[in-house]
Amino acid sequence: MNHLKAVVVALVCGAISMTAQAAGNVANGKALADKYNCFTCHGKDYNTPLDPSYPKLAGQHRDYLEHALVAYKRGDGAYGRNNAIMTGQVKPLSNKDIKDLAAYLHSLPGTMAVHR
Amino acid sequence: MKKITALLVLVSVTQVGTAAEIVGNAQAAKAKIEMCIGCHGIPGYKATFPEVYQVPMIGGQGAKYIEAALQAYKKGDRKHPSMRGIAASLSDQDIADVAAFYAQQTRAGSAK
Repeated sequence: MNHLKAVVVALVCGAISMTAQAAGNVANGKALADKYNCFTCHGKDYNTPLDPSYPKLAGQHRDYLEHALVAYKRGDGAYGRNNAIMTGQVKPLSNKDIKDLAAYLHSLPGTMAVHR
Repeated sequence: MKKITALLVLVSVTQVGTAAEIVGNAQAAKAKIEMCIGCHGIPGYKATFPEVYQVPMIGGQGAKYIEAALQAYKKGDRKHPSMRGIAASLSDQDIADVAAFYAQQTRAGSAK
C-alpha cells in the first residue's frame, strides 16, 4: 500500500513538474530578462519601448513570444527572422530560457487586446 | 562644388518629402483589414506551423512596430510564409493605415 502511495505521489509530482516546464518559469524568466537587459529596448515595464519601432511585450501571448524568439534563432532558415539586434540577443538562450522568458513577459500586466 | 551641394540638398529634401508623405490613417484601414481579422481578430486563434501558437495580439501594439514588422515580412527578413504573402500584397500606405488602425485599439474597444 505504501508502495502504491509512493508511486501515486511520484506520478502527481511528475505531472506538476512537467506542466511547470511546459509553461516556463516566471521567476527564472525575470532573472534572464534582467541578465540580458531586455528592458533597455523594450522598457522597464515591457510596455513602453525605447523606440516606437520596438514591440510592447507585456502580456503578449506566451506561445507567440516563444515562437518569435525561436524564429530569431532560426535566422535565415525557414520560418526564421533576421534582425540586427534580436539575432544577437537570442544566441545565448537555451530552449528552456526561451520558455522562461516568454512565461515572464506574458505574466506582466499589458495593455494589448484582440478585437476585430 | 555649389552644384553638387545644391544637388545634395535637393536629394535630401526629396527624401524628407517622401518619408513625410506616408501617414497612417486608421479610418482608411477599414477596407484593408479583412486579411487581418481572420486570425488577429479572433481571441485564441492559433497558427499551426512551424509551431502551434496563438497569433500575436496586435490591438494596442505600437504603430511603428507593426509597420516595421510588416515591412520585414515584405522584404523577407521575416520568413513566415502566410505573413510574407499578406505583407507583399500591401503598399507602404496600406501598411501605415493598418498599423494606425490596430495601434488605436484598447482593451475597451476599437474606435468607430
